[in-house]
Amino acid sequence: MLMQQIVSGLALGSVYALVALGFIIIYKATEVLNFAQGDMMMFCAFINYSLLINGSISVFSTILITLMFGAALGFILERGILRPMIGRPLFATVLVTMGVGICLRAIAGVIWGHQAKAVPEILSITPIQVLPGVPVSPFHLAIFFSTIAIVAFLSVFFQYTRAGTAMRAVSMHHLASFLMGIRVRRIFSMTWVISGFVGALGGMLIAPLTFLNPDLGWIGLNAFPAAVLGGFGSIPGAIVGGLMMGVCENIAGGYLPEGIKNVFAWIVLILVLMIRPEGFFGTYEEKKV
Amino acid sequence: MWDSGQHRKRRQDEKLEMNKVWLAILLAFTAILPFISSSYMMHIAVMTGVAIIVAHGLNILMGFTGQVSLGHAAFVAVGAYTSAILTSKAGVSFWLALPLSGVAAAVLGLIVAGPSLRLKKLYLAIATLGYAFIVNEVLVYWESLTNGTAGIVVPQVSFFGYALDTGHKYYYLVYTLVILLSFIAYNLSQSKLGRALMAVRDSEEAAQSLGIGLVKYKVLAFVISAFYAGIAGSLYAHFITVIAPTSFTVMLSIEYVFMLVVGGMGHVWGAVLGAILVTLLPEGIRLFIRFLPGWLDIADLQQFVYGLIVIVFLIFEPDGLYARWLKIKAYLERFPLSPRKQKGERVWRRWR
Amino acid sequence: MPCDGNVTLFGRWCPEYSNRNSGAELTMIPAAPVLSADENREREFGVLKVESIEAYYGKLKVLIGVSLELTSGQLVAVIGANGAGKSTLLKTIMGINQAAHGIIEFMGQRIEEKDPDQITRLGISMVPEGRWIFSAMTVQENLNLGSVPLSDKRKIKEQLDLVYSVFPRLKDRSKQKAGLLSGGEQQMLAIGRGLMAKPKLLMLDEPSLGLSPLLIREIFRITKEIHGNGIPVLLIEQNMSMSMKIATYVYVMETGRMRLSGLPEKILADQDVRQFYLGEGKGRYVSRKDRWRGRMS
Repeated sequence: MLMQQIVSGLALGSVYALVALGFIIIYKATEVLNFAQGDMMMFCAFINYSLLINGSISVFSTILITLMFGAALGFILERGILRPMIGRPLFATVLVTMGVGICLRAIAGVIWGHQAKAVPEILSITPIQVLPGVPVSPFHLAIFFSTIAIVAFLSVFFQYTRAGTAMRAVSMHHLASFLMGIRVRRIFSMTWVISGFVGALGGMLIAPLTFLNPDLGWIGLNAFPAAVLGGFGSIPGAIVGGLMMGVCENIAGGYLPEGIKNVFAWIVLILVLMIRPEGFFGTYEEKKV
Repeated sequence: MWDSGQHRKRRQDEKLEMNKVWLAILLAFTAILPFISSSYMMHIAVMTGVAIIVAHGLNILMGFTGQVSLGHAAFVAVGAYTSAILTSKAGVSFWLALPLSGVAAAVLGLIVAGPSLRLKKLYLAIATLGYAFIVNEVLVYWESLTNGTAGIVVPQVSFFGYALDTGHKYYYLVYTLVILLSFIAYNLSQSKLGRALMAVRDSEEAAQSLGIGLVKYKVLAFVISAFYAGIAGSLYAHFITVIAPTSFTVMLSIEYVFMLVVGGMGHVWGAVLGAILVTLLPEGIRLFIRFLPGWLDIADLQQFVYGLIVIVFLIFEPDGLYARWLKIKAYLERFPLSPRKQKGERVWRRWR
Repeated sequence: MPCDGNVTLFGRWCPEYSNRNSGAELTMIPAAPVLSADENREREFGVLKVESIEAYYGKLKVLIGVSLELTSGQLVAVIGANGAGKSTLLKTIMGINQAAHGIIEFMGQRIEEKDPDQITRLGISMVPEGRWIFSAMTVQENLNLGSVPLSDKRKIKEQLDLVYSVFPRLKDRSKQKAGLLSGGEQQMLAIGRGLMAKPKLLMLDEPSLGLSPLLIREIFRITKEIHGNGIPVLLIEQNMSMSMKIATYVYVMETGRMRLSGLPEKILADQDVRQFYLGEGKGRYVSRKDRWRGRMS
């Protein structure tokens, strides 16, 4: 029982980790907290759902199209809405992302309605015995491994490619990056594209775990504690934070009274912030006077 | 061009006179509004008044002190529930419950402020969001006290036996408080306390070096802000008469922040303008949408237009309405002359 | 012959670029060199031309009609006290601040409306005050970032080797985090990073700031070497005496204005400059005894 909860917690946590990753990639480069991340995820999940229901194309190309759509969505949002906000007060920018979230939710409501929809299963959710005594469903495994895959891919990208290094530079010092000749605005676009991509992946993975309706975007908010736990700065931090949150939440749901499960992540978050205001993996930048 | 001291003094006096005239006109308008409006409009006006009070409180916290709060609906909820429980279950008079609900919210503010002292912008924003979630969850699951999701029925207010049962009557109660609390907020912004709060906002390090205790002023800001929200919550509860946890969602908190940013953070008038605009916006959209074909889901379309307006507004007016008003005023004052070309430093200050 | 394709650190060795102080090479007259398109532009337009620019910080006017010219092969030093607007001048050229009025031309191209990244790509490298190195990255990564404007991999490698040969210390530490370097090494890294872009103009903002006298001398030697290898340098300095020694032309700034300009000899001969910047001249020295009595000598 406990084992199973941990396993499904890891699967849920992987999705949290993906959303947190989306937050962090944008935040590190642009200092904007993207409140629309969850809604981007929800929107992509709906696109995936429509394509699957339609059924005229293979599952594989469905996944591919959804991922491309996520990236395109990120690109369009950055170009159309966030680009004019560069250099504006940060808080206004964050509120703009909230506005984007509202709009995406409304559009999804208009197109797909508010009835909860069950997404066709690509892989079965019923558990099979992988290891003795640990029943794991193929879908949970898929979630887990695709998260690992994307994280590995991103780590390599940031560490070894020119664009990745430039992105890291932008996240450290905007003006210095300008002086290096890095096209900072293009980097901003790239971060949104990557976030959209990651969000699309997260959307496809979480939709079968829960029901699909426009309010799915609020799950994005649940990834905040995960991101903060990880220190809001590092990719491994986000992953560990997400997994921890998923497992904690599942176990809390099993053993603690009802009502605590929904906010358990937030309780953990506040307790952690009381002890370490910068999260577990964060480093505090001492501000110079 | 070079004003002598006297000249400048006289001009300031003139300005002050003008301000007084404008204020008098505004107050007169507020006083006679019920005589010229329907009960629907009164409903909106009361809700606007409640929003103005919350916006003032949030402005003290965010605009003056620079402490972000994405969970202000929680304070409103605590105020509303305190008032509701005291009047409906304990039989306390509204006139006692009103200040008590402010106090209850302030106590929550005190509790919230403690762990928030060390948190910086982003972390604080997320932590306050967390508090709001937790408070909402408590309201849902503490059924013996709050009736859970079913909500509480709140009695209506009477003033020396005279029932304030319609919007027209309740309006005067709300706007008396709005004017009083606005006045207090304005005086606060001009006072020593207000300047200390602003010093904390502008640079914590510099404020500390001037002997301004961060702990004291941050906690104070939270407490005052929560008190405002609590009062507003109480007023809201006794007007709507049925409250449930779903009335105080995250969306409401975000709406309050919208109000501040739309109006202009850090200005008392900005909070008022923002509260009015953001409360009226959905109503305006509803009026407009009636002309569209019915197959569009009205609620969704309303949400969409709402989000779109917020986005467009923030793109063109990120400093808020009040800042724009200041610019217009400066333009009018030197009307025949062209406005000064502002093209100096590029605005990259926030980029570390 | 020195100028017939003898490739050195920073391209072809052209003695005519070199410092007037290195007299020996100057006597050698180069055979008519084959000029590239860039060099032609350089000849035609000069490298950098700043014409009466004005800049603001908010409402405060910090640059008041500043003009400056830099032709190829020069090492121009801009000196002045704290707050004279020297750094603002560089930032304005770089596009970090925007000039409210005036013209900035780089090799015949107007750049005052451009963004810093575009300007860097055009060929100006700026080494900012405070260095702005990416301290969480390794030395190697920092240098690689400097080469972003270059696209050819071979060129990048070439440039990296050159930088390492100028700053052998950086090579020893190429795998270390840049934040762990000492102040002098960080300054070298910043300069090296600026050189990675193969700049047509190098702008140094107070490279000697916060360094020990020995390191200051080292930095100035390197600056001179860079200039001697054909890269025009715009140097912003407070260290008057040192910059006078290596500059070919000097501007003196004071409270947002260009006060003086000329060859170093001329500047050094100026009475006021001697008085204010070098602490020499008549009437400034007050003997202890006189100060005690409260009167000026």
